[in-house]
Amino acid sequence: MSGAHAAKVDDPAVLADLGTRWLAAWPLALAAWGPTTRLHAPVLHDRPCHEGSFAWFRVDEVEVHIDLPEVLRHGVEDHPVAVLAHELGHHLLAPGDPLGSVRIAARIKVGLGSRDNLVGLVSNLWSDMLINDRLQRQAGVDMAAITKALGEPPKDSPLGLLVMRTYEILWALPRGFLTGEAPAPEGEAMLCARHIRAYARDPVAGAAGFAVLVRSLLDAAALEQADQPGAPTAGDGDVLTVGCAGDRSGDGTLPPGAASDTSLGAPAVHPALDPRVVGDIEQRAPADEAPDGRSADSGGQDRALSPAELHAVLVAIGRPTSLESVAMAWYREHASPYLVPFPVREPPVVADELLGGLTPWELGDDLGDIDWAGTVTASPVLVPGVTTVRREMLEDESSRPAPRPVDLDLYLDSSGSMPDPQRTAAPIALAGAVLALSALRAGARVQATTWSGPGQLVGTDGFTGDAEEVLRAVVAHIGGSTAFPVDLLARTHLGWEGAAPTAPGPTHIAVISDEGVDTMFRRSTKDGSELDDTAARSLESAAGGSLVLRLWPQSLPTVQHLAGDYDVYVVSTDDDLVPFARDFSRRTWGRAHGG
Amino acid sequence: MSPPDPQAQPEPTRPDPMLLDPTLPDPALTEYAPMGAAVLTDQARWPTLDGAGLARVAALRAHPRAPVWVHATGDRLTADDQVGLEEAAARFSGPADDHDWVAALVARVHATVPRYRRAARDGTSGPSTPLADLPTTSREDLVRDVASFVPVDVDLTRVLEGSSSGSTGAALVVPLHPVTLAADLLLVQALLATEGVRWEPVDGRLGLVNVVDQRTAFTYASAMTAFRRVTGADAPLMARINLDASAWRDEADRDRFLSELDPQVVSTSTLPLLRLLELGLDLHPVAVVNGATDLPASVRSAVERRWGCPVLDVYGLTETGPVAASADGSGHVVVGRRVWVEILDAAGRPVPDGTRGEIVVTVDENPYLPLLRYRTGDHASLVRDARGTVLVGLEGRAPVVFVAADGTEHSSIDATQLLQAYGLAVFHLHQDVDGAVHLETVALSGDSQGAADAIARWLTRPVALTTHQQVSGMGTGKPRRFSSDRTSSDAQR
Amino acid sequence: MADDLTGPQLAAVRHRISNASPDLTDPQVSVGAVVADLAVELDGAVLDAASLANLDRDLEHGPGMSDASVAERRALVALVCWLVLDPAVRSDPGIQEAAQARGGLSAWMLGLVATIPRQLSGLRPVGRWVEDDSAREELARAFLGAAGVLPAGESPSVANDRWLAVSTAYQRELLTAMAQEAARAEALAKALAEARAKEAAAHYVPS
Repeated sequence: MSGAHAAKVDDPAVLADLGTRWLAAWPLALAAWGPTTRLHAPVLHDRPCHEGSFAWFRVDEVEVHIDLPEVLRHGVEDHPVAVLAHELGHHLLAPGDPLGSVRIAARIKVGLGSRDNLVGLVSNLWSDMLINDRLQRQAGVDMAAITKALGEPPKDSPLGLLVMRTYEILWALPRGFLTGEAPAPEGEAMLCARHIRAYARDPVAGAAGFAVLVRSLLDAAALEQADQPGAPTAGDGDVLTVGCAGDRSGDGTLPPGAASDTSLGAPAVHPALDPRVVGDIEQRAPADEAPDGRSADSGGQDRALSPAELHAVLVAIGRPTSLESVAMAWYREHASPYLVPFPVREPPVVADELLGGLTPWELGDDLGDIDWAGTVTASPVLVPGVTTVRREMLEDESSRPAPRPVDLDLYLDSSGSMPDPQRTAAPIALAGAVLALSALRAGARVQATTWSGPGQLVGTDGFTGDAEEVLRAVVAHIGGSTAFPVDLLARTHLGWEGAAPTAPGPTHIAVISDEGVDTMFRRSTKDGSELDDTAARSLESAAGGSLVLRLWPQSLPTVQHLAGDYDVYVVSTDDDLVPFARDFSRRTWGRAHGG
Repeated sequence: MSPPDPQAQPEPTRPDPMLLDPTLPDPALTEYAPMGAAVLTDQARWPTLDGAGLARVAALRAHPRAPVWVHATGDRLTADDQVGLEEAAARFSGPADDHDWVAALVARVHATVPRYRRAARDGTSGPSTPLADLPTTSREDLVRDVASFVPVDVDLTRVLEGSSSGSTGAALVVPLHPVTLAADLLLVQALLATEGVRWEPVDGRLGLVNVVDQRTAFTYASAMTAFRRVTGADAPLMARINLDASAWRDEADRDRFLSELDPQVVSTSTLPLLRLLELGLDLHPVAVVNGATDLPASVRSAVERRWGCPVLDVYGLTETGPVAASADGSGHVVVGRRVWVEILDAAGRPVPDGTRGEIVVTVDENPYLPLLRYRTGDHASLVRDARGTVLVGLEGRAPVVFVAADGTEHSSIDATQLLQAYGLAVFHLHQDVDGAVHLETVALSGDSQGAADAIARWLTRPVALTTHQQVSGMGTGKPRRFSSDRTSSDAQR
Repeated sequence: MADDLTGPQLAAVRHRISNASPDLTDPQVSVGAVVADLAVELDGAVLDAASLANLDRDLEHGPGMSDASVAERRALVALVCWLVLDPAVRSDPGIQEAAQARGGLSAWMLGLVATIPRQLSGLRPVGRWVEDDSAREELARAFLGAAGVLPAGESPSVANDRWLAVSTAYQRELLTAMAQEAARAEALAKALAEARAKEAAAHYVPS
């Protein structure tokens, strides 16, 4: 950069003028995306922001940012429309919104295999290429010029050369116009150009194939550059993108829709094997090494990502979050289709209170209940608590409120080889989530406890109406030995050492487990085990009890004998647990019983 | 959440790494679960063995003092492979090959190997490009995308999975071919014959024993059906054994097994060899073969003193196969395989004969992995004399000894297994003079904390972990994997 | 490929193709007659029996030629004639010079009629040559290349690069090679993952 240039960077007059010119270009940038495009004006910074580039888009705030000193440093001050329209592309095309960010990153991660630290860089690159191609070929914005202005890729960067050569092919530019003299990966660039054209309007669907294509071109240099997650490049002369720093988002919440999107876990297909990319020139004669008739939409291989995988995706794109909170959101989203409908609120019945007789108003009663006419009539001298009276209102039968929904005391087995709900989709946890969230929806309160060996519990430790607390307990994992928390059962329903039972009202006891449920009725001793009647006595105080068990058929008689009056429901596979939970919830908290 | 239940323990966090049973294999080394990787029938393992032959192998396995076999594997050779084996044997015994095959290899790879097909498409090289004008291949290239080095026209049904731990970096999966592996045996036979060593099968003796000394390792019994022998003679048997006490049912078994079976050739590397010598067993090998680690002159003499037999020090990598061998300690002679050696400086330019540089190998023996200008990471100078092409002053990998809290010594090879099992790509393990252990890693991949805990269990002493965010944090130059401040005689005998 | 003679604008040739009437590709049309008439129109040449016989032989049914293949070649011949007929093509100075070098316009035209169908048949469904953007460009560039001229405003290397980007034959060869490599990478990973591969085989020398 020349000395004259350097001087300009700090000159407030120059920056102000630049800002004015760029602001004036905003409507043109909007128009490039269509006559009805609207977005508030970009934020123009006249102090360096150290974001690693001169332009970026904040997905969460939906806002374009420009670092004017950096614009000058990179020599792109004469390309306002290109830069602004490009940033708009992150809002309108890819990633579009936080959900789009996560979905694209998830597919990129699948395509890259094991290089999580490159997910951010490659995701941004994919988005950038789609945007640039759309603007150049359909909106008539000169992206070629600004790409050229940002300089040639380093000769030893196969990825940079691929990107530039791909643009040359897409935009019919002379060879070398963007790549410089170094030879570029020719076949990969042809394929990349086809891939971009094929998936021009489908950023999520094309992301995995793009990652597979560039995977083998990623080298140590890219690795070093990608050390800061979510931060792609753009040092001087080091171009992997048009210099944009991509979408910057800091929020770690899992966007709704990401957890249940079954396209995210499908295997990635190399573009050369993707009919959508190369289908138009398939050989008429059979090829000598025909790939097994696979199609780009993998058909039966779709699957949603596990909480751990989604967590890795969020971390990879620089959205800090904990595995636990991702898991909680995951189970909430996956349970959602199975929950009971929200209770219908009956309109309040008006007026039909019947006047009853007068009864004494005592200190401590609600002041508003005092019937002054009655009080004064009873005694001319007012002595609060002695002569004050209140009118008893009798309820009209017809306006009696619906019965209170039964509360839920839920126990989830997390012993031995039970899967960790945060790592994979765990059926017991999901079934538990369906039960608990249905109960909460109906207005009930829930105590949720994940249990394993003696003293190993994670739970709400009491009844709550807070879904977050309940989910936190549901996604916990212990994986120790098997010992049902009988003492907690006693504390809840029978009282403990003088304290009253903690259950606030009629409560249903639900246990999801397997053969290990026998520890609910048997306590181990020095010499073996002895029967324990705590569970049976708790059932007497409770409003029903259900054991939902995955059992071998031969275990059933023993368990039923032990269970006594508990209802025993047997499921043969994990897949049966969730539908069972859904049906059970409907019966227990469904519309007829809701508030 | 409400106040914790006095009955409940605190939420479970990471288990204390020191509480995992140290006598069991590290949880990350799942492949060493006994017989975990053995799936074939014996017939499939040795397709050319008849019932009597298979019975002999079974008898060896069932030897009363046999170790606890962790694995079972054969040579997978079919009758059709004989042709290839005979051709290889002829090459190894004949005069040193010219290198016409190099040009043919270059032409062939540009048509059949993806990496070079791409170069042809991009115009950066072609079938008639001289070898010296082709770019070098690095280990990282193979780690990143080994498939692009496998020819598109070879039948994959016979592929075997080999692995190379290398001098730096992540484990590398190498596709191997049964004939290529068996040819190593033929090479050893040819080299020993040149040294005047008689190696003929003897009933009751193991033909060859492959000896390691690690906490966990594959061990197995096999028959060497490719062994060149008189028609009708039985194939001599071999075994791979682990000197570590944990590999044997009974303490005394190991010594008795070895003494009774008195293997004719002991194939091993430096540290297990020293341990074997220390055992003071009554063995009568006709030769010792040393591979994988540098062989100090003192060890060579110790073998000659104890057993009166020559030591063949073979230099090669899993991905290249044997490259050069030394029978007398004065330089490694490049062997009669299709292997071509260049010595290049740090900038990749060839150096004159006699000047030291990096050994760069072109080899066309493994149909699954022809390699052109492969940078080995090892150094030597090259001279040409009556023996052929000779590598002088070969410096490869010297094993480093780490000392546990109780004073026992452990080889860095164990550490490599562990660290790679935790997915580490770059690491440096160091032990101070006072025994303190330091592990440096890069946060690129793998579970650094898990790896540090595993090393802590292995050495029963705490490990200080430093994790760098970038590779450059490990310092410039080729990162060393292992080092020790203990005196060189302790660390690198 | 092309010499350094510069011919008409590529866009003009593409445009001419898009104006071709559907009758041109009607199988009932006698293509031989079209060619003979065109020769007369170009420079008054009356095709001799030998030339016409060659033409018929190229176009008629022969062993191994399907109906569809014959129809496609006829259509391509008809399109070539249509392009040659364009005054903007015929009178282009570069074309004229190229034709002179080959013995005159009709001789030059016969060369094209022989070359183009062979070069392009089997690459695209017949109807597409007129309807698809990239097909029109491929036909236009093939035409100008066979004609011996560069598209106006393009250097030889630019013309070559743009030709490769639309040449179905080149794309097929390239993409088939890449598909083969991609499929092999998957097959190798699968083969290595199989337990048979993991059982490996006995090693004799440590390395």
